Formats: sequence, C-alpha cells, structure tokens
Amino acid sequence: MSAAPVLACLLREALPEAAVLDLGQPAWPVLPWWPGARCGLADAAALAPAEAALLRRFHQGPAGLPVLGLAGTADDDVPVVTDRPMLLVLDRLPPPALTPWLEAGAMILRRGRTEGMPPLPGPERGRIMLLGGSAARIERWDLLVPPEAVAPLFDRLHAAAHHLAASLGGSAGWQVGGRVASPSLASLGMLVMGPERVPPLAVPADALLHDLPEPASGAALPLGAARRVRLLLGGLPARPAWLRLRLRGADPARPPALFLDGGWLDQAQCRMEGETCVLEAPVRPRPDQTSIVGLALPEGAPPGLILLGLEVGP
Amino acid sequence: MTDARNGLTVWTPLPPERNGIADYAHVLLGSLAAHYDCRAACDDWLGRAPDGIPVVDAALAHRDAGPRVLHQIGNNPGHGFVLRAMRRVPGVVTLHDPGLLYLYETAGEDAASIRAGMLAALPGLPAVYGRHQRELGLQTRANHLLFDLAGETLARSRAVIVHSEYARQRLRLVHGPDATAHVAVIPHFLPPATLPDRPAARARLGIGQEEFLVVTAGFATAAKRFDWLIEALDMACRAGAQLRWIHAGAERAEEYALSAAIAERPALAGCAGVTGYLDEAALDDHVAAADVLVNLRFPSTGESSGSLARAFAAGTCCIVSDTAAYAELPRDAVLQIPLTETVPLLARALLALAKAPARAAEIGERGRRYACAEMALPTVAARYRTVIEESLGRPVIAPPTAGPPPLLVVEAGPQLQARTVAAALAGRQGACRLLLAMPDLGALAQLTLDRPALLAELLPLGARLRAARVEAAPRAGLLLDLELGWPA
Repeated sequence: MSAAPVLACLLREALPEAAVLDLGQPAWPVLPWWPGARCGLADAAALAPAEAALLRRFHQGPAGLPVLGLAGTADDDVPVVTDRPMLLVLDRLPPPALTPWLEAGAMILRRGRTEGMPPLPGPERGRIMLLGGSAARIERWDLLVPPEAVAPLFDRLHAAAHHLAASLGGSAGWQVGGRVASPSLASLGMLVMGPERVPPLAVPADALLHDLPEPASGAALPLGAARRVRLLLGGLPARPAWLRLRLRGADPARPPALFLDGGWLDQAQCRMEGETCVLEAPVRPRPDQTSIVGLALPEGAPPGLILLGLEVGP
Repeated sequence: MTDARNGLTVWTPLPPERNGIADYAHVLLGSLAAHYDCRAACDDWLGRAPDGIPVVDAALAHRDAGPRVLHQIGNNPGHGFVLRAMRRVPGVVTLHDPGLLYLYETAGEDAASIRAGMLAALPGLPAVYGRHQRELGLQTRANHLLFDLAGETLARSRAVIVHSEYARQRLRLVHGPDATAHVAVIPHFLPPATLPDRPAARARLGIGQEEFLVVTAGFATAAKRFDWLIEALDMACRAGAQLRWIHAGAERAEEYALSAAIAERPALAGCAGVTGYLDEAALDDHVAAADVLVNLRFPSTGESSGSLARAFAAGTCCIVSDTAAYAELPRDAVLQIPLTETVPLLARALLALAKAPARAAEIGERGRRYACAEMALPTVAARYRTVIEESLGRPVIAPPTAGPPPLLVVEAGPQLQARTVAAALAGRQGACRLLLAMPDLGALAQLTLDRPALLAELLPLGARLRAARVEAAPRAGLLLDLELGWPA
C-alpha cells in the first residue's frame, strides 16, 4: 500500500495554509487528498508524447492553470512565490524553474531518504522522517522544513495522526509514535495494524482538474453544452473501491456513462438522493498512472449536467 | 507470424458516426479479432464495436497500446483524433484516401502545418501556392488535387495500407520511392453479411419487380459527378429508357444541390428520388434492389468506395468512371465510362441496359465472382495481419518530446536574409526556439523599424510562430517560439 494518502491527510491538517505543488511523476500521490494542490512535472521530457498530450488537456481552478511544465513556450508558467508556506512534493530533483521557491524556503516532501540528495538551493532545512504503511511494510518519506519549524510541525503532525487514527477505525487499529531527536531532526510513524485502511477521498468539483473548454468559476463544475468531461484525479491506491460522482441535472432514465482510464465502467449504477444523482461503480485504480475519470452523456440525454463532487471510498 | 494472441489497438471512428470508414472499421475489427485481441480507440467513447471488443477513450488508449497499432484515416474531420494519435503512437495506417488536405483543413491543424505538408508536391508548386495561402489566404479546390498532405502519414507510419495500386503509385510519384517503400495495397473487402435478395429488397422498398432501377449511394459530393449523371439519365429517358433512379444517401448541398438539379429536369423529376442518410440495412436494400449502381468520380484521388463493395456482394452491375482506382477493376466485371464524352456514353449504356436488364445481371454476376476471389473479408484480414507483423521493426520518425525545445541562435542585423534563417532551421521538426541575436536592444528596435514585416520575410512557409519576446540577456535579441513542419 502507499502511505501517501495518510501522510497527505496529516500534512493537510498540520499545514492548512500551505500552497502545494505535487511533482510526483507519473502519478501525483498527494494531489487527490489535497484539494487545491497544483500538479506539475519535474521532467516533462521523460513523459511519453501521448501522455504529455493527454495531460496538456487539463486545467485547474478559476484561472484555468495547466499542468506545470507543459505550457511549452518560452513564457512557460512558473508559480509565483507568495507569503504562504510552500510545499513541494518530489520524487526526483526539482526542476530549475522552481529555484525561486526553493530559495524562498519551500518545504519538500519526498518519498524515500533524502540524506543523499544534492544540497538544495535556499536556507538550511531540518528533516522530519515520516513512516507510513504497515508494520510489515514500512514506507519512508522525508519532510524537509526550516529547522525552527521541525518541533512545532512535529507536534501538529502528531496531533493530526491521532485525529486521523480515531476517524479511521480507532486508535487500536494504528500505531502512532515519534519524537524530536534534535532541533533539526524528528520522526513520526503512523502504521496500520491489521487490514489496510485508506482515508476516504472526497473532492469538491471546483478542485478537480478537467478538460472542459472553460474554467470552473463556482463550487460546482457545470458541463454547459459539453456532453463529456475528463477529470484528472492523481494517484489512487491500487485497491478495490467505489468511485462515486454526485451530479445535478442528470436524467435517471438516461444516466451518464462513467469511465475510468478510458474504459467504460459498465457496472455503474445511478440512484437519486433528493435532487442529486449519485453515479457509482466499483473500481480498482492502477498504481502506476494518474487516474482519469470520464463522464459522457448518452444520445438523447439532456445537456446541462452539473458535477458537484467526486468520492472514492468504501 | 504471431501464434499467441497479441493485442491490437485500432484508432478509428466507429458507428453510429455517419462515416463510411466507421462502418469499414466495425467490420474489419470483427475480422481482425480472429488474429488479435483487439480494442478500438475512438473519439466517441460510446461508439459501437463488435461484441467482445472494448472501446476506449482515444486520448487514453496509448497507455495500454502494445507495439501493434492500426490507424484508420480518411479525408474528413472525423479523423482528426486519429491523425493526432498517429503522431504519438506510431503504427500501421490505412489511408482510405491518399489526399488528406481536407482533413488537415477541418481538423484544427494550423496553416503553417498545412504549408509544411504542401512542400511535398510536384516541383514548383509549393512555393507559389504556399505563398498565396500565407499572404493572401488563398485556398482553391485545385489545392486538394495538387497537395495530398500525406507526407506526414508516410513518415510517421511503420506501414501504410491503401486500397488500390493507383493510390500507391500516386503517393510514389509525389513522395518518391524511398518514402513509399512501406506502402501496401489491400483492396476494400466485401461486406461479411449476405446482402438481401433482390425481390425481397424491392418488396420492402415498394419497387416493382419489373422496374429498371438505377441507384447511387453515399454523400452526394461534387466529385461523384451528379451533374454528368443527371444529364445522361435525362438523355436516356428522352430516348425512351424506362427507368427509376434513387440516390440512397444524403445530399451535401454545399457541394452539389442534387434535389434542385433534379427538379430542373422535368423528364427526370418524376422518376428520381433522394432518400437522405440511410442506415446499413436500408442501404443494403437499395443496393441489392438495383439493376445498376452508378459510381462516377472526377476528380479522383484514389479513394475507395464502400457502396461499390456492397454492389459487388449483391451481384449488382456497377458503372464507374474509367479513372484512378476504378480503372484497375477488370473490364468484364464492371462498366467503365471514359472521362471524355462521359455523358452520351453513359446515356447509351443506361439506355441499353434498361432495354436488356439481363445484360446488367450478367455483368453484376461477373463482378460478384471477381470480388469473392479478391475481396473476401478473411483474406483481407489475413493480409492486414501480414502487414502489421512485418512492419513491427520498421523505424519511424520519433515523436517530439514534451521537454524544453532546443535553442538556435542566428546573428541578426540589417542584412539578415530568409535563406540564413532557413539554413538554421533546415531539417528540424517540432518545437524550437530561435534567437535573432542583436548587439543590443537599440539595434533590435532599429531593425524592426526598418523592416516592419521582418518575421513574415524571414520565416519559412512551414514555420508557425507561437510566441515572441524581446530578450535583454544573456544575449539581446528577439526570441521566437516556433513550431516547424508537422505538429507535435
């Protein structure tokens, strides 16, 4: 199992103000669990041309931002350094375009050990080792932060871990522990005891990357005249789950068709909860790629579908 | 040859799209399933494939595509997604129409890409027509005959399948033997289903068993020369032919106002009709009910005809133009009408056959026997497999990557000539950055004042300017983001 969903939930609670850029290629592991996070490519040239063309279709938020690294001109977009704390999720060295972020002291989250990494631009950083997964299979991530932030951030992460454990089967199902070893080094573990548990995923429609012609401006994602849409989710755990979309404006007699990674989910069911149509299907995402959900109106179905949100869970 | 069940991904339009190639692909997929685990990659996610063959979103189909890939490309906007897939996932291409200019024009390809494609043409043409297109926006119908835009498909494909020797030779003439060495000819196939018998089809359509029925089929395009046919039918009727004509297909009034042209001929108006678009079953009924299927073409770029294959299967006598791929059909299997004196010759043929329908039936039977020998579906599928397997090792031009484009520097100045820029860009495809370097920004400003049309003068016909910005450092100049040749 990947520890990314659990760690993303901890970090989100501990760093609610952070601006997040997930550069974990090819399947953004933090993106789904951090609505509003931006995704990008540390090495766009490593991507197959067809996959790059696919990802180039998507944009995000009211500004319609593309996947970072795929704009492809000399004026390629680079995120602006702001006053918000910045968190970069990496699985390789950061691209040169992000040097301003690093020089401004951005935090780094990286799967695996960081001891051997070349020095990063910017101020000195302390390290919080994050251990996730299960006792039988521990997965290590490192969080690099300013040294003065190690202890207070450890405390917030520790508290967040207890909150999350309580909401995911109770504290008996989890082993939570850790300590601050020095002013610049801490470790925190949150290991599942027994069956795997993944935090349920609920993404509001306006946080989804999509390929509609117009950016979303409100809380929902109206399809307008479009009869189909693709939604980029990021990396999901490779385990059986239910994919659930909440919609308004669907005709239950001619419900939209649901797709995952290009294939039709022919077991999808449609039910009404008041005015909301819930379209759901059993899925098993693939771990090696970013998951992409598709929604298509069949012939004769009325246009004007509105997506309210997306969930992946039991 | 492959013994195991290899996968094959086929990028293609599918029914219910109203597109003859969608119907072709549907049948072909069912037949290729005897050799491969097929899946269809379609822009219409709800497109219909044969039972057991999954349809996947064409934009995501690359993820599980193995080395065996087939693209079905025709000359209309419904194939834009196939063209784009071909660039990124190379494989074998079935080129249903060797002329692709209309596809490029209507599928969102930019003008510079089209001009780049026009460069492969008979000597002397591209410079003149390309300049007219860029500077005056001039685009004539002649362009569709003069420029086939097939160069990109040839270069990016492991093999190319066409349906006639004419199409192969036409490509060879324009693009040369090296660029077309991987072009194979596989004829159009006979429809797998048995066509309805003539009496039953006529009964369903309300056509008398003794009537002499002439049928035309498909979209009523200008190239199908309904102007000639109408005049010939009119002559035949005035000469005493008792016949009925049905166009089993939709009008394309922007190309040829068929109903209006029929209405202008009183002798014809009473015995002619246009059905509008038909589903497959209704089209089969019309073709099977016919004594004669007329399938004229001028000009022809070597395209194939699905309705002709249906007529062969039904044993219906076919009258075709003696040109392009139609000229390759055996002389005793069809009636070929020359392109000179077409109208009177066609009128005489129709008059003669209307008076002796048994002669039409004889020709139709010879056509059926020919098609059964050469166009049987299992034979065609086996030939596809051979081409696909033999193409696997053939290299193609690498698709451009998504990384930063290369930076080229040209020392600019008042004397900078287009040939200098052309030399710097020669042989490049895809994105690149070109810095027109100047000693300082003042000199750059002076240059642009002195030569206000600087970029139009300097950039080659096949270069698309995506962005431009002034650079102060590390070298002063004008930095151009360019897309060269075929798009990424």
